[in-house]
Amino acid sequence: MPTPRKHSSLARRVAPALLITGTAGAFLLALDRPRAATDESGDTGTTAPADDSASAMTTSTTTRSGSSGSNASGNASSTVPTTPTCSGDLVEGSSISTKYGAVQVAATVSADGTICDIKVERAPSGGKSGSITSRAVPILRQRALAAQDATFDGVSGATYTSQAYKKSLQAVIDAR
Amino acid sequence: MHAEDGSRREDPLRYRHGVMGTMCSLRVHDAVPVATIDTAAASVFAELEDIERLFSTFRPDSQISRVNRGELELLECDRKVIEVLDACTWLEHTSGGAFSIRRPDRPDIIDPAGFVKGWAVERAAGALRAAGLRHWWLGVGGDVVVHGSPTLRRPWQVAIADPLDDGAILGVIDLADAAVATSGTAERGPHVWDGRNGRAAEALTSLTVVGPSLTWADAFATAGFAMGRRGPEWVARFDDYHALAVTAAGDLLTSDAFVLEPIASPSA
Repeated sequence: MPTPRKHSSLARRVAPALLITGTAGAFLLALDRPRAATDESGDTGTTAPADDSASAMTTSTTTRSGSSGSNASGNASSTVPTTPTCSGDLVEGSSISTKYGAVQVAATVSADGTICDIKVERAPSGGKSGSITSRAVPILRQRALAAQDATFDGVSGATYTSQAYKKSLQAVIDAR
Repeated sequence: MHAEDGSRREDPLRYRHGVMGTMCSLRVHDAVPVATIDTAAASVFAELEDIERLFSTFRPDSQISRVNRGELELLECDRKVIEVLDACTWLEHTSGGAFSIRRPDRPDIIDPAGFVKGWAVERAAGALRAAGLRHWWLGVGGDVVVHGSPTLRRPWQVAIADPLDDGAILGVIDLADAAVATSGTAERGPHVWDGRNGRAAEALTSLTVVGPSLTWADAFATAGFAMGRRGPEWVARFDDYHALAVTAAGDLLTSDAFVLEPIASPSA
């Protein structure tokens, strides 16, 4: 759960709102703020990078339509096959260090060499951001399938209007 | 609590309700009396409509519209309005000004729309929790919060729309008790501005945030989108929040704890 910030720093943060509203601290903790993992000295950890180009990016980049995977999946083929499952061999990926801890995935490789399934073997736990232990690392399972062939319960996308909804994938799902 | 974890309906109850200029989709799988679910669903829609009445800049009689016309003092506003503006102030600060409720072309008016929807949907979902419901999906205009799972055998599966290919998806994320929000230009054109320079944010075409709270997933999606290519990295500074972006050039950017499964061939 997001952790409320200390009252003192909060007060500084919302000072402009307080000046406007004139309301007291009763409202300040009405809505929990998420805690920043790197928030060590007040605000600096969460302040946005000012320069879009001076990059110390920790994000991974991959092309949308290419056949390559991500940082995680790229390591999946580098070690020895172990337990056979699905319709192929289970390949354990090497452990990847993230700021939340180690992530390890295992891929199932079918006879023709394509990866047909991936699961997370190890997710971050403990350490500085201990609150992540109970939460799964999100995995985007990309499939080279048409949307109508994929199984899902609904769609997250940029806000559609009532009109656009009628043509949306969500409407197709809702009509099932 | 009404239901054991495994107690689900064979056929879920589905509801659709137009609100906030978009569509609300609700699915409930709990094996409890229909009347219980109907009542909870009605509370969800009523809450969303109440919030729309307070905040919509498209409604001349909303409190935000009245504040902007100088007819209403902030001090006299509903407590919910003050809570939202307070949170927006924090978001503006913590995003280094990338998020702002003041439009660059009309700095004299406030519009917290970039924050309100996710907050509203999470707040409305409180009616489902209060009714003891454990297995449901609530989505409003592309923002989603889920609880439990649709069946014992699988989790909720949320598809992420491909912003550059209408009707296609980037992939699917399995979730339980989590929220997903996406900001982007695909459906409504450029409408998110970078509060630091007043220009339309154009580096990304969509930014999806996964996290425990829809309030903050949506807020971070909006602010991170305004930030551009550094958006995913910024989002991931918050505990348990993860980001996935598509750039204007069509590349995927993810925060480092976000795992991408490789694309399998259709025959696999």
